[in-house]
Amino acid sequence: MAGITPLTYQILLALADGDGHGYGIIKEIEQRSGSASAPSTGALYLALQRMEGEGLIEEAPRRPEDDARRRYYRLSAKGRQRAEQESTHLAVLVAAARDKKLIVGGAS
Amino acid sequence: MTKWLVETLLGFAPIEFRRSHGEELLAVHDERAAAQRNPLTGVLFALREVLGALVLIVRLHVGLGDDNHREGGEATMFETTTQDVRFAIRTLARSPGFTWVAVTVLARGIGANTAIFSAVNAFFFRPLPFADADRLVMLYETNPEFGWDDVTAAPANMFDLQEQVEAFEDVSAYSEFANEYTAF
Repeated sequence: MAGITPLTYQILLALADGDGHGYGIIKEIEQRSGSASAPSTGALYLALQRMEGEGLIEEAPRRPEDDARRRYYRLSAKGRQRAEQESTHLAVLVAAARDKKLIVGGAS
Repeated sequence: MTKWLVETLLGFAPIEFRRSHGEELLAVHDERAAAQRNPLTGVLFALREVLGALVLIVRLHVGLGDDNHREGGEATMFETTTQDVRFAIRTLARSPGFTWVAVTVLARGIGANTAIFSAVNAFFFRPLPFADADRLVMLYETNPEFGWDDVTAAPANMFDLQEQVEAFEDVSAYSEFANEYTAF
């Protein structure tokens, strides 16, 4: 994945369909890839801070009914564009892998 | 203990990071810790959290490369933890001064915590090594003539108490000091 890390992509993916908070992002990564693949809490927040700095994500409005410490994040226009680029790139790679019979037992 | 370690390490993070993400990070850590059900994965989780926090503060200060070291593919929690340990060692080795300070503070903190726990455990929680410990009483002597209270009983008086006072099932003595007797 050129220029983007798996964790960055996982976070972009988690926020692609709406605002999310740190714990929600981790739960989604766990559900998709298994609990062993979920980052440590420190690694997640290091990535979130960096992604905010790069303009890939931005803070979304907090929800009054929720824990006051909880911040929500959402994709910026740049983040969505980056997620689309990487997803297209990955789709091309996966299609090539499928043609070469490298995907065993997965969905066709 | 894990939360204390993560919180202590977070204290080393730049103030801007602590203000923007500190409380939230700890809240997420709490939620994840509370969700641990298996003791083994709980220990691995705790280890990864502490290592992750250690790497976080080092990289917030010195900014070392990419933030995602993990290989793709399926991994067990143990394999992931091993990767985390290797990554942490590599990261920390590149910043030995900062690592030394952080680890020293942690070691002192753990030592202090352990000492306090040992004392609290010994005084308040661990039962005395006697049957019916709640029926034990401590006997002292007084000497109004000299105005002495709570005086340690002389050995001869202890033997008198043992033989003559029927209020107690038994009487014994102890010394607060460890004595070593050597025969010549």
